[in-house]
Parts: sequence; structure tokens; C-alpha cells
Amino acid sequence: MSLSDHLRYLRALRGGVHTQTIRDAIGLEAVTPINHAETQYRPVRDPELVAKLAAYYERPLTEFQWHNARPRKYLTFYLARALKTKEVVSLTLRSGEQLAGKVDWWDLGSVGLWDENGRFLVVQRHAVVDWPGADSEWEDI
Amino acid sequence: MAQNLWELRQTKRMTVKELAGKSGVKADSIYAYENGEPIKMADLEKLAKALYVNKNEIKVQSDPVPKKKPAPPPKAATAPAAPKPAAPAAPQAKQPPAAKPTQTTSASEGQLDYLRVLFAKLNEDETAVTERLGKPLEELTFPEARQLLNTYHKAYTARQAQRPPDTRRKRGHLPEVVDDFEIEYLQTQQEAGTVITFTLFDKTEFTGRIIGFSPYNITIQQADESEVTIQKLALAYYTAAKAAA
Repeated sequence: MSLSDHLRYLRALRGGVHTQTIRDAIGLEAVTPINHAETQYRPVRDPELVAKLAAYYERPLTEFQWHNARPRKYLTFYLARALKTKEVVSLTLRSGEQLAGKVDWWDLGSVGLWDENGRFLVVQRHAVVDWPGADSEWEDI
Repeated sequence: MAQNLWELRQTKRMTVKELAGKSGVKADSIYAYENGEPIKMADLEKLAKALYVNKNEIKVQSDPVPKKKPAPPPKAATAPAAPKPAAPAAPQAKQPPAAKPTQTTSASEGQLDYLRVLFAKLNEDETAVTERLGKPLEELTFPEARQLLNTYHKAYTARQAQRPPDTRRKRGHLPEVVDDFEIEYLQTQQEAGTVITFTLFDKTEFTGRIIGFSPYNITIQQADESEVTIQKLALAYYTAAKAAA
């Protein structure tokens, strides 16, 4: 799961607290960096912001750094490659559940998979926390 | 009935650039398609989606765009052009766009636009080209313009192929922005009345038939006819239920 998705998830857990409230709490002048951090497809390049957000959500910085190393673009790379090579993908969800299957399609928000039992699954991309080679096998696309 | 690509685009009040942005099909390709090149199936789907029409409403091979203004009369000094009808014909009825180009049909606006795009890409000076041709672009006939387009298009393609790999324009694993597979899937399942099981992040499950959805949520009707709206942010995955209800 990307840091962007993780941030949205944590904010939802806090009852959807407004980003302006977070801005004031962490001492930023503008709300834009927080909005960008929640929506961007590439890693958040500002370590200070990552640290401030981790402190705000009372989470270990290493957890945020771990998610930041798995941005949405890298998952896209993994899914696109699997679609091309027909390899079986293995996706670990936030719930801890592990799903595997062949990619039938993928788009901005989800991926369609055929699992080994012939079930067709539509997995939400924001639910995927990890996948093989998530932080090492990718190409900036 | 199928319409020319350029007709549909103009009906939707879109420029080629806008259509390219919306569909993910290159502007160069759209210019080429509007000038009679057969549309590739993959592009046809994207263009249909961007224009909000069915694929079969677009002609796979468009007729040329009719010129808005008549071509200027040939200059006295220029070499004799192709023989023209001896007597001026009676005022011609406006030619339908579907008319096949003949030897004497003037170059279409689309052809000229695309030629100028290629000139810009190849750093070709239009004045130098017209000097070589011996007449302005507006005086080209349809076949002459097509010939010229072929020549410049080949030159452009050859130049692109010679560029070192690291400087070639990379197309990412897109089009994320134009593919809506999930929406299509949900639409199909809703129409088929498939019973689907939705699993949330906390492993809670809901089973029912889809009765509505948006990019952010899905509403289902459960077996007891109660309705539940599932926020996608809380959703992990879903699949057709094992046994149909």
C-alpha cells in the first residue's frame, strides 16, 4: 500500500478529519503538501513532511517509510508486467489475507484476477499492502 | 449510421488535441484517421469512449474533410494544371462529405493541418516546401497532398526510429485514465443480476445484487431485500457468490 492510500486510510479512521486541521496541527503554512501526499502516485519526496505526518497519526516513522517505498506506480508496474507475462500475482491485503491469481485487467482503482479455483476477484488497489519485489523490482513509469 | 471521425469530433465541439487528450490516442494518429487512414481497432474503442458513441457509429475509414473555401483560381504564370471541364458547370450542389475524392478534388483542410504539424516536427520551412512544389499548399489536389503527407510522415517515422532509446518519448503503463474496467464489470454484473460477495478491510462480508454504483461506492440489495451502500475505501475485494441466490 502506498503512503498516499495509508494516509487516506488513517484519516478515515479518525473520522475523516479535515486536512486543514492536520495542517494546523503539524505547523504547515499550506494544506497543499498534505493533499498531494494523499493523492500522488509516486513516493512522497519530502522526508520532513513524512515525519510530521507520522507524528500526527502517532505511528512509527518506519511504518510510513515502508509504505512510501510502495507507491501506486510500482504496483502498476507489477500488474502491467504480470498482465504481459501471464505470471501469477500475489497480493497481500491490509487484512493480512493473501490473494493470488492471473491478472485479467487492471485500472486506476482495482485489478481483476482469476484465482486458481476459477474465481474471478476484483481487488481494490488501495487494499493491497504488499507484493513480491514491491520495493526493489520496479521501473519509474 | 456510421459517421466520419472528423464529423463526430466537430459535432462534439472538440479539437483534435482535446480528443487526443481525452482518448489517449495520439493527435498525429487522429489527423491520419481523419484523412482516410483506417482506424486501428484499439484506437477505435478509445475514440468511441471519448466521443461517447458506440464503435459502430464511427466509420473505420473516414472520408476527407470537405474544404470550407473554394481553392483560389490558378495563377496565370503557373504551369497548366490538369485539364478542366470546358464549360463551367451549373452551380454545383454542396458535395456531401462522403463523396470520393477525385483527381481534381482539392486538398482537405485536415490534410493541410496535418502537413503543417509534420513540417513543425521536422523543422521544415513551409515557404521552402511551397517553392519546391511551385504552388501554395492550398492549391494542392487531394492526391498530391496525400502523396506529400506520405513522404513527410515516413520521414518523421524514420527520424523517430533513429532517436536513441533513452530520448524516445516513453508511454507509461497507461491509459489508467481512460480504462474503466471495474465500471464495465460492475455494469455487466448489475445487468446480469449476479449475486456478489463483498469483503471489507475488517473481513466483514456483504452479499447481494448490485443495484447501483459510483466511483466511490456500491449499493447492493441483500437476500432479505435490505439495501447496503459499501464505501469503496472500506472495500478489499469482491467476487461472485458461490451459490446463486
